[in-house]
Amino acid sequence: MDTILTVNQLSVFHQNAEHYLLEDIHFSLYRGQVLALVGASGSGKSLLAQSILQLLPDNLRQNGDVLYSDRQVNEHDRGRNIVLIPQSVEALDPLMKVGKQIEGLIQAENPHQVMLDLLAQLGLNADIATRYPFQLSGGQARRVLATIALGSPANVVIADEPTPGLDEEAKYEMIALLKEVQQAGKAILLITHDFDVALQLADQVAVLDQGEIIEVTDVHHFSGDGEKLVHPLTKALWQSLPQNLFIKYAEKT
Amino acid sequence: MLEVANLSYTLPNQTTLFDDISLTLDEGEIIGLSGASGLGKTTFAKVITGYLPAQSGEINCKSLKNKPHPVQLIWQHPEQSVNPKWRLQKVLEEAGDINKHLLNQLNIPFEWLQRYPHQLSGGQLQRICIARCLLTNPSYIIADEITTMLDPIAQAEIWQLIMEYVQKNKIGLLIISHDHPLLENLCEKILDFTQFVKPFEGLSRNNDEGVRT
Repeated sequence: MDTILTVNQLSVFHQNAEHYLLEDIHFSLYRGQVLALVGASGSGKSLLAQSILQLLPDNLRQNGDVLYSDRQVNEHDRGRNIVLIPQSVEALDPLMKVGKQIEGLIQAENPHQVMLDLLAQLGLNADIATRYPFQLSGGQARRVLATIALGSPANVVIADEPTPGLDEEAKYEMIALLKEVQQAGKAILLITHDFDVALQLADQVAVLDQGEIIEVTDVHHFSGDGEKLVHPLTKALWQSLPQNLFIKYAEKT
Repeated sequence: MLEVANLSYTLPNQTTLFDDISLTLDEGEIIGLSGASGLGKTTFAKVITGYLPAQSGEINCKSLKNKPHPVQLIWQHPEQSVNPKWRLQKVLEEAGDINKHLLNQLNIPFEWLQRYPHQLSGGQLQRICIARCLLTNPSYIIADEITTMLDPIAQAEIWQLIMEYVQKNKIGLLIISHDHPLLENLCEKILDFTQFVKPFEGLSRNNDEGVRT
Protein backbone atom coordinates (compact mmCIF):
# COMPACT_ATOMS: atom_id res chain seq x y z
CA MET A 1 0.00 0.00 0.00
CA ASP A 2 1.06 3.50 -0.76
CA THR A 3 1.79 4.96 2.66
CA ILE A 4 1.78 8.71 2.79
CA LEU A 5 1.98 9.60 6.49
CA THR A 6 3.62 7.52 9.18
CA VAL A 7 3.51 8.24 12.89
CA ASN A 8 5.96 6.18 14.86
CA GLN A 9 6.56 6.11 18.62
CA LEU A 10 5.19 9.60 18.94
CA SER A 11 4.98 11.02 22.44
CA VAL A 12 4.23 14.47 23.79
CA PHE A 13 5.57 15.44 27.19
CA HIS A 14 4.32 18.33 29.32
CA GLN A 15 7.47 19.85 30.74
CA ASN A 16 5.90 21.78 33.62
CA ALA A 17 3.49 19.08 34.77
CA GLU A 18 6.11 16.40 34.00
CA HIS A 19 3.81 13.89 32.47
CA TYR A 20 3.01 12.44 29.07
CA LEU A 21 -0.01 13.78 27.20
CA LEU A 22 0.50 11.36 24.31
CA GLU A 23 2.44 8.15 24.60
CA ASP A 24 3.81 5.75 22.03
CA ILE A 25 1.43 6.58 19.19
CA HIS A 26 1.77 4.45 16.04
CA PHE A 27 -0.22 4.53 12.84
CA SER A 28 0.13 5.07 9.12
CA LEU A 29 -2.15 6.59 6.56
CA TYR A 30 -2.14 5.46 2.96
CA ARG A 31 -3.62 7.12 -0.09
CA GLY A 32 -7.40 6.86 -0.20
CA GLN A 33 -7.67 5.85 3.44
CA VAL A 34 -9.82 7.43 6.11
CA LEU A 35 -8.72 6.71 9.65
CA ALA A 36 -11.14 7.91 12.32
CA LEU A 37 -9.77 8.90 15.70
CA VAL A 38 -12.35 8.73 18.48
CA GLY A 39 -12.21 9.08 22.25
CA ALA A 40 -13.53 11.16 25.15
CA SER A 41 -12.84 14.87 25.28
CA GLY A 42 -9.46 15.47 26.85
CA SER A 43 -8.06 12.17 25.56
CA GLY A 44 -5.57 14.00 23.33
CA LYS A 45 -7.21 13.90 19.89
CA SER A 46 -6.63 17.53 18.93
CA LEU A 47 -3.21 17.43 20.51
CA LEU A 48 -2.25 14.62 18.15
CA ALA A 49 -3.32 16.77 15.20
CA GLN A 50 -1.24 19.68 16.45
CA SER A 51 1.67 17.38 17.01
CA ILE A 52 1.56 16.02 13.44
CA LEU A 53 1.49 19.57 12.11
CA GLN A 54 4.36 20.69 14.36
CA LEU A 55 2.09 23.22 16.03
CA LEU A 56 2.70 22.39 19.70
CA PRO A 57 3.25 25.20 22.20
CA ASP A 58 6.75 25.65 23.63
CA ASN A 59 6.10 23.94 26.96
CA LEU A 60 5.31 20.63 25.25
CA ARG A 61 8.09 18.41 23.99
CA GLN A 62 7.56 16.00 21.14
CA ASN A 63 9.50 12.79 20.55
CA GLY A 64 9.29 10.15 17.86
CA ASP A 65 8.71 10.32 14.12
CA VAL A 66 6.10 11.95 11.97
CA LEU A 67 6.99 11.08 8.39
CA TYR A 68 5.47 12.45 5.20
CA SER A 69 6.54 10.23 2.30
CA ASP A 70 9.43 8.87 4.36
CA ARG A 71 10.89 12.16 5.55
CA GLN A 72 10.26 14.11 8.76
CA VAL A 73 7.39 16.58 8.57
CA ASN A 74 8.39 20.21 8.93
CA GLU A 75 6.45 23.46 9.01
CA HIS A 76 6.68 23.83 5.21
CA ASP A 77 4.41 20.81 4.84
CA ARG A 78 1.60 22.71 6.55
CA GLY A 79 -1.01 23.75 3.99
CA ARG A 80 1.02 22.25 1.11
CA ASN A 81 1.16 18.56 1.92
CA ILE A 82 -0.84 18.28 5.13
CA VAL A 83 -3.82 20.48 5.77
CA LEU A 84 -5.97 20.95 8.84
CA ILE A 85 -9.70 21.62 9.08
CA PRO A 86 -9.53 23.19 12.53
CA GLN A 87 -12.00 22.46 15.28
CA SER A 88 -12.44 26.03 16.43
CA VAL A 89 -14.50 28.33 14.26
CA GLU A 90 -12.39 31.09 15.77
CA ALA A 91 -9.62 30.08 13.35
CA LEU A 92 -11.08 32.49 10.78
CA ASP A 93 -9.64 36.01 10.50
CA PRO A 94 -12.41 38.19 12.00
CA LEU A 95 -11.42 41.24 9.93
CA MET A 96 -11.38 39.68 6.48
CA LYS A 97 -14.34 38.71 4.31
CA VAL A 98 -14.52 34.96 4.12
CA GLY A 99 -14.36 34.84 0.29
CA LYS A 100 -11.00 36.57 0.39
CA GLN A 101 -9.74 34.19 3.06
CA ILE A 102 -10.73 31.15 1.03
CA GLU A 103 -9.50 32.40 -2.36
CA GLY A 104 -6.15 33.46 -0.97
CA LEU A 105 -5.35 29.88 -0.05
CA ILE A 106 -6.61 28.08 -3.14
CA GLN A 107 -3.82 27.24 -5.53
CA ALA A 108 -5.62 26.97 -8.85
CA GLU A 109 -5.89 28.92 -12.07
CA ASN A 110 -9.28 30.26 -11.15
CA PRO A 111 -9.48 30.29 -7.35
CA HIS A 112 -12.78 32.19 -7.39
CA GLN A 113 -14.52 29.46 -9.38
CA VAL A 114 -12.99 26.69 -7.26
CA MET A 115 -14.25 28.47 -4.16
CA LEU A 116 -17.78 28.86 -5.55
CA ASP A 117 -17.87 25.18 -6.49
CA LEU A 118 -16.74 24.11 -3.03
CA LEU A 119 -19.23 26.41 -1.31
CA ALA A 120 -22.02 25.05 -3.48
CA GLN A 121 -21.04 21.46 -2.74
CA LEU A 122 -21.34 22.21 0.96
CA GLY A 123 -24.77 23.76 0.48
CA LEU A 124 -23.66 27.34 0.99
CA ASN A 125 -24.98 30.29 -0.97
CA ALA A 126 -22.39 32.24 -3.00
CA ASP A 127 -23.20 35.41 -1.03
CA ILE A 128 -21.47 33.82 1.99
CA ALA A 129 -18.19 34.92 0.37
CA THR A 130 -19.06 38.58 0.88
CA ARG A 131 -19.64 38.20 4.61
CA TYR A 132 -17.36 38.61 7.60
CA PRO A 133 -16.96 35.65 9.98
CA PHE A 134 -19.23 37.20 12.65
CA GLN A 135 -22.07 37.19 10.10
CA LEU A 136 -21.94 33.40 9.77
CA SER A 137 -23.79 30.85 11.87
CA GLY A 138 -21.69 28.22 13.62
CA GLY A 139 -22.53 25.62 10.99
CA GLN A 140 -21.73 27.98 8.12
CA ALA A 141 -18.37 28.93 9.65
CA ARG A 142 -17.48 25.26 9.98
CA ARG A 143 -18.17 24.68 6.30
CA VAL A 144 -16.10 27.72 5.35
CA LEU A 145 -13.18 26.23 7.27
CA ALA A 146 -13.63 23.03 5.28
CA THR A 147 -13.59 24.83 1.92
CA ILE A 148 -10.31 26.50 2.86
CA ALA A 149 -8.71 23.14 3.60
CA LEU A 150 -10.23 21.26 0.68
CA GLY A 151 -9.17 23.92 -1.81
CA SER A 152 -5.56 23.11 -1.00
CA PRO A 153 -3.51 20.57 -2.97
CA ALA A 154 -2.42 18.72 0.18
CA ASN A 155 -2.48 14.93 0.11
CA VAL A 156 -3.21 14.54 3.81
CA VAL A 157 -6.28 16.13 5.37
CA ILE A 158 -6.68 16.27 9.13
CA ALA A 159 -10.32 17.05 9.89
CA ASP A 160 -10.69 17.98 13.56
CA GLU A 161 -14.38 17.63 14.50
CA PRO A 162 -15.76 18.86 11.16
CA THR A 163 -19.45 18.25 11.94
CA PRO A 164 -20.68 19.52 15.36
CA GLY A 165 -23.40 22.13 14.99
CA LEU A 166 -24.28 20.96 11.48
CA ASP A 167 -27.83 19.82 10.90
CA GLU A 168 -28.45 16.47 9.25
CA GLU A 169 -28.40 17.75 5.68
CA ALA A 170 -25.25 19.84 6.12
CA LYS A 171 -23.59 16.91 7.84
CA TYR A 172 -24.23 14.60 4.90
CA GLU A 173 -22.92 17.22 2.49
CA MET A 174 -19.73 17.39 4.54
CA ILE A 175 -19.47 13.59 4.53
CA ALA A 176 -20.02 13.50 0.76
CA LEU A 177 -17.32 16.09 0.18
CA LEU A 178 -14.80 14.27 2.37
CA LYS A 179 -15.64 11.08 0.48
CA GLU A 180 -14.70 12.83 -2.76
CA VAL A 181 -11.45 13.90 -1.19
CA GLN A 182 -10.79 10.28 -0.27
CA GLN A 183 -11.67 9.05 -3.76
CA ALA A 184 -9.23 11.57 -5.21
CA GLY A 185 -6.56 9.49 -3.50
CA LYS A 186 -5.91 11.70 -0.50
CA ALA A 187 -5.65 10.39 3.04
CA ILE A 188 -7.89 11.68 5.84
CA LEU A 189 -7.37 11.59 9.58
CA LEU A 190 -10.90 12.18 10.86
CA ILE A 191 -11.03 13.32 14.48
CA THR A 192 -14.58 13.05 15.74
CA HIS A 193 -16.83 11.93 18.55
CA ASP A 194 -19.71 11.50 16.11
CA PHE A 195 -19.81 7.77 15.41
CA ASP A 196 -22.34 8.28 12.68
CA VAL A 197 -19.77 10.30 10.72
CA ALA A 198 -16.91 7.94 11.55
CA LEU A 199 -18.86 4.87 10.43
CA GLN A 200 -19.87 6.41 7.14
CA LEU A 201 -16.41 7.60 6.18
CA ALA A 202 -13.72 5.59 7.85
CA ASP A 203 -12.02 2.34 6.92
CA GLN A 204 -10.55 1.95 10.37
CA VAL A 205 -11.23 3.48 13.76
CA ALA A 206 -8.54 4.23 16.34
CA VAL A 207 -9.61 4.79 19.95
CA LEU A 208 -7.58 7.21 22.02
CA ASP A 209 -7.75 7.12 25.80
CA GLN A 210 -5.63 9.30 28.07
CA GLY A 211 -3.00 9.81 25.42
CA GLU A 212 -2.71 6.21 24.26
CA ILE A 213 -4.26 4.40 21.34
CA ILE A 214 -5.98 1.47 23.02
CA GLU A 215 -7.48 -0.14 19.94
CA VAL A 216 -7.39 0.17 16.15
CA THR A 217 -10.19 -1.76 14.57
CA ASP A 218 -12.00 -2.28 11.32
CA VAL A 219 -15.02 -0.02 10.98
CA HIS A 220 -17.28 -3.05 10.36
CA HIS A 221 -16.55 -4.28 13.88
CA PHE A 222 -18.86 -1.56 15.18
CA SER A 223 -22.06 -3.57 14.89
CA GLY A 224 -24.47 -5.53 17.06
CA ASP A 225 -23.53 -5.43 20.72
CA GLY A 226 -19.94 -4.69 19.80
CA GLU A 227 -18.89 -8.30 20.35
CA LYS A 228 -16.07 -7.92 17.79
CA LEU A 229 -14.56 -5.01 19.69
CA VAL A 230 -11.73 -5.86 22.04
CA HIS A 231 -11.12 -3.08 24.53
CA PRO A 232 -13.83 -2.42 27.17
CA LEU A 233 -13.75 1.32 26.48
CA THR A 234 -14.29 0.78 22.76
CA LYS A 235 -17.27 -1.42 23.59
CA ALA A 236 -18.54 1.20 26.04
CA LEU A 237 -18.33 3.99 23.44
CA TRP A 238 -20.33 1.86 21.02
CA GLN A 239 -22.94 0.62 23.49
CA SER A 240 -23.64 4.07 24.89
CA LEU A 241 -24.88 5.43 21.54
CA PRO A 242 -28.58 6.42 21.39
CA GLN A 243 -29.20 3.78 18.69
CA ASN A 244 -27.72 1.11 20.98
CA LEU A 245 -28.09 0.66 24.73
CA PHE A 246 -27.74 4.38 25.50
CA ILE A 247 -29.07 5.21 28.97
CA LYS A 248 -29.47 1.54 29.78
CA TYR A 249 -25.71 1.38 29.39
CA ALA A 250 -25.26 4.27 31.84
CA GLU A 251 -27.61 2.57 34.33
CA LYS A 252 -25.51 -0.59 34.24
CA THR A 253 -22.34 1.25 35.28
CA MET B 1 -49.41 22.38 31.53
CA LEU B 2 -47.18 24.73 29.57
CA GLU B 3 -49.16 26.28 26.75
CA VAL B 4 -47.56 28.14 23.87
CA ALA B 5 -50.15 29.75 21.62
CA ASN B 6 -49.59 31.46 18.27
CA LEU B 7 -46.06 32.53 19.05
CA SER B 8 -44.22 34.45 16.31
CA TYR B 9 -40.83 36.12 16.16
CA THR B 10 -39.49 38.69 13.73
CA LEU B 11 -35.92 39.97 13.72
CA PRO B 12 -35.19 43.72 13.71
CA ASN B 13 -34.51 43.49 9.96
CA GLN B 14 -38.11 42.32 9.46
CA THR B 15 -37.11 38.69 8.80
CA THR B 16 -39.72 36.40 10.32
CA LEU B 17 -37.95 33.55 12.10
CA PHE B 18 -41.00 31.54 13.05
CA ASP B 19 -44.68 32.15 12.76
CA ASP B 20 -47.68 31.00 14.72
CA ILE B 21 -46.19 28.23 16.84
CA SER B 22 -48.62 26.52 19.18
CA LEU B 23 -47.73 23.59 21.37
CA THR B 24 -48.45 22.18 24.79
CA LEU B 25 -46.14 20.39 27.16
CA ASP B 26 -47.68 18.45 30.01
CA GLU B 27 -46.02 17.84 33.34
CA GLY B 28 -44.02 14.65 32.93
CA GLU B 29 -44.26 14.77 29.13
CA ILE B 30 -41.12 14.52 26.96
CA ILE B 31 -41.22 16.06 23.50
CA GLY B 32 -38.47 16.34 20.89
CA LEU B 33 -37.95 19.28 18.54
CA SER B 34 -35.74 18.97 15.47
CA GLY B 35 -35.08 21.05 12.37
CA ALA B 36 -32.21 22.50 10.32
CA SER B 37 -29.76 24.89 12.00
CA GLY B 38 -30.33 28.61 11.70
CA LEU B 39 -34.13 28.35 11.67
CA GLY B 40 -34.69 29.84 15.12
CA LYS B 41 -34.98 26.87 17.47
CA THR B 42 -32.73 28.52 20.04
CA THR B 43 -34.60 31.82 19.72
CA PHE B 44 -37.83 29.90 20.32
CA ALA B 45 -36.27 28.32 23.42
CA LYS B 46 -35.21 31.75 24.69
CA VAL B 47 -38.71 33.17 24.24
CA ILE B 48 -40.50 30.42 26.14
CA THR B 49 -37.96 30.58 28.97
CA GLY B 50 -38.31 34.35 29.28
CA TYR B 51 -34.87 35.40 28.02
CA LEU B 52 -36.51 37.18 25.10
CA PRO B 53 -39.91 38.88 25.17
CA ALA B 54 -42.75 37.26 23.23
CA GLN B 55 -43.61 39.60 20.36
CA SER B 56 -46.98 38.08 19.64
CA GLY B 57 -48.83 35.09 20.96
CA GLU B 58 -49.02 33.77 24.49
CA ILE B 59 -47.13 31.58 26.90
CA ASN B 60 -49.11 30.24 29.85
CA CYS B 61 -48.35 27.98 32.72
CA LYS B 62 -48.97 27.82 36.44
CA SER B 63 -46.81 30.20 38.52
CA LEU B 64 -45.30 31.88 35.48
CA LYS B 65 -44.71 35.05 37.48
CA ASN B 66 -42.67 33.18 40.12
CA LYS B 67 -38.93 33.54 40.51
CA PRO B 68 -36.95 31.60 39.46
CA HIS B 69 -38.79 31.16 36.19
CA PRO B 70 -40.70 27.82 36.18
CA VAL B 71 -39.49 27.09 32.62
CA GLN B 72 -35.71 26.67 32.68
CA LEU B 73 -33.28 26.48 29.77
CA ILE B 74 -30.16 24.34 29.63
CA TRP B 75 -27.88 25.89 27.01
CA GLN B 76 -25.91 24.35 24.17
CA HIS B 77 -22.53 25.80 25.19
CA PRO B 78 -21.98 25.40 28.96
CA GLU B 79 -18.77 27.45 28.87
CA GLN B 80 -20.77 30.40 27.54
CA SER B 81 -23.58 30.10 30.05
CA VAL B 82 -21.65 30.52 33.29
CA ASN B 83 -19.80 33.57 34.58
CA PRO B 84 -16.10 32.76 33.92
CA LYS B 85 -15.03 34.81 36.93
CA TRP B 86 -17.26 33.03 39.46
CA ARG B 87 -16.32 29.93 41.35
CA LEU B 88 -18.81 27.15 40.64
CA GLN B 89 -20.19 27.42 44.16
CA LYS B 90 -21.38 30.93 43.35
CA VAL B 91 -22.67 29.76 39.97
CA LEU B 92 -24.86 27.18 41.72
CA GLU B 93 -25.90 29.41 44.63
CA GLU B 94 -27.43 31.81 42.17
CA ALA B 95 -30.06 29.15 41.49
CA GLY B 96 -30.85 28.30 45.11
CA ASP B 97 -29.52 26.53 48.17
CA ILE B 98 -27.01 23.88 47.21
CA ASN B 99 -28.44 20.42 47.68
CA LYS B 100 -25.73 17.87 48.43
CA HIS B 101 -27.97 14.96 47.54
CA LEU B 102 -28.59 16.42 44.07
CA LEU B 103 -24.87 16.97 43.50
CA ASN B 104 -24.30 13.35 44.46
CA GLN B 105 -26.91 12.18 41.99
CA LEU B 106 -25.18 14.17 39.25
CA ASN B 107 -21.74 12.83 40.22
CA ILE B 108 -20.45 16.29 41.05
CA PRO B 109 -17.71 16.06 43.70
CA PHE B 110 -17.99 18.80 46.30
CA GLU B 111 -14.45 19.96 45.65
CA TRP B 112 -15.39 21.12 42.13
CA LEU B 113 -17.37 23.95 43.71
CA GLN B 114 -14.16 25.75 44.62
CA ARG B 115 -12.99 25.67 41.00
CA TYR B 116 -13.53 28.13 38.17
CA PRO B 117 -15.42 27.11 35.01
CA HIS B 118 -12.27 26.75 32.86
CA GLN B 119 -10.95 24.13 35.29
CA LEU B 120 -13.63 21.62 34.27
CA SER B 121 -14.11 19.81 30.96
CA GLY B 122 -17.14 20.55 28.78
CA GLY B 123 -19.02 17.51 30.03
CA GLN B 124 -18.26 18.26 33.67
CA LEU B 125 -19.37 21.86 33.24
CA GLN B 126 -22.57 20.75 31.55
CA ARG B 127 -23.36 18.66 34.67
CA ILE B 128 -22.93 21.84 36.75
CA CYS B 129 -25.34 23.64 34.42
CA ILE B 130 -27.86 20.82 34.80
CA ALA B 131 -27.48 21.02 38.58
CA ARG B 132 -28.04 24.78 38.41
CA CYS B 133 -31.20 24.21 36.42
CA LEU B 134 -32.54 21.54 38.79
CA LEU B 135 -31.77 23.62 41.90
CA THR B 136 -34.48 26.06 40.80
CA ASN B 137 -37.08 23.23 41.05
CA PRO B 138 -38.34 23.88 37.52
CA SER B 139 -41.71 22.62 36.30
CA TYR B 140 -40.49 22.49 32.71
CA ILE B 141 -37.04 22.16 31.16
CA ILE B 142 -35.95 23.12 27.66
CA ALA B 143 -32.74 21.27 26.71
CA ASP B 144 -31.16 22.97 23.69
CA GLU B 145 -28.58 20.65 22.08
CA ILE B 146 -27.11 20.00 25.50
CA THR B 147 -24.91 17.00 24.65
CA THR B 148 -23.67 17.59 21.08
CA MET B 149 -20.19 18.46 22.29
CA LEU B 150 -19.81 15.30 24.36
CA ASP B 151 -18.49 11.82 23.65
CA PRO B 152 -21.10 9.03 23.59
CA ILE B 153 -20.42 7.79 27.12
CA ALA B 154 -20.74 11.26 28.63
CA GLN B 155 -23.95 11.76 26.59
CA ALA B 156 -25.52 8.55 27.85
CA GLU B 157 -24.62 9.38 31.46
CA ILE B 158 -26.10 12.86 31.30
CA TRP B 159 -29.36 11.71 29.71
CA GLN B 160 -29.71 8.90 32.21
CA LEU B 161 -29.45 11.42 35.06
CA ILE B 162 -31.89 13.85 33.48
CA MET B 163 -34.46 11.20 32.58
CA GLU B 164 -34.40 9.76 36.07
CA TYR B 165 -34.90 13.18 37.65
CA VAL B 166 -37.54 14.29 35.19
CA GLN B 167 -39.61 11.14 35.57
CA LYS B 168 -39.40 11.18 39.35
CA ASN B 169 -40.38 14.83 39.64
CA LYS B 170 -42.96 14.91 36.81
CA ILE B 171 -41.16 17.63 34.88
CA GLY B 172 -42.14 18.50 31.31
CA LEU B 173 -39.10 18.25 29.04
CA LEU B 174 -38.58 19.68 25.54
CA ILE B 175 -35.44 18.30 23.89
CA ILE B 176 -34.04 20.28 20.96
CA SER B 177 -31.63 18.16 18.91
CA HIS B 178 -30.45 17.18 15.42
CA ASP B 179 -29.78 13.67 16.67
CA HIS B 180 -32.77 11.58 15.57
CA PRO B 181 -31.76 8.33 17.27
CA LEU B 182 -31.47 10.33 20.49
CA LEU B 183 -34.92 11.89 20.12
CA GLU B 184 -36.51 8.59 19.14
CA ASN B 185 -34.97 6.99 22.20
CA LEU B 186 -36.14 9.61 24.70
CA CYS B 187 -39.29 11.29 23.41
CA GLU B 188 -42.94 10.40 23.24
CA LYS B 189 -43.36 12.56 20.16
CA ILE B 190 -41.07 14.56 17.89
CA LEU B 191 -42.02 17.89 16.33
CA ASP B 192 -40.38 19.25 13.20
CA PHE B 193 -39.55 22.93 13.64
CA THR B 194 -39.49 23.43 9.86
CA GLN B 195 -43.28 23.48 9.80
CA PHE B 196 -43.31 26.69 11.85
CA VAL B 197 -40.85 28.47 9.62
CA LYS B 198 -41.67 30.78 6.77
CA PRO B 199 -39.18 30.52 3.93
CA PHE B 200 -37.23 33.76 3.87
CA GLU B 201 -34.44 35.32 1.88
CA GLY B 202 -30.94 34.90 3.14
CA LEU B 203 -31.52 31.36 4.36
CA SER B 204 -28.23 29.59 3.97
CA ARG B 205 -29.81 26.58 2.37
CA ASN B 206 -31.43 27.61 -0.86
CA ASN B 207 -31.39 24.86 -3.38
CA ASP B 208 -33.43 26.57 -6.05
CA GLU B 209 -31.49 29.68 -6.78
CA GLY B 210 -28.25 31.48 -6.21
CA VAL B 211 -26.13 28.52 -5.19
CA ARG B 212 -24.30 28.10 -8.46
CA THR B 213 -23.43 31.30 -10.25
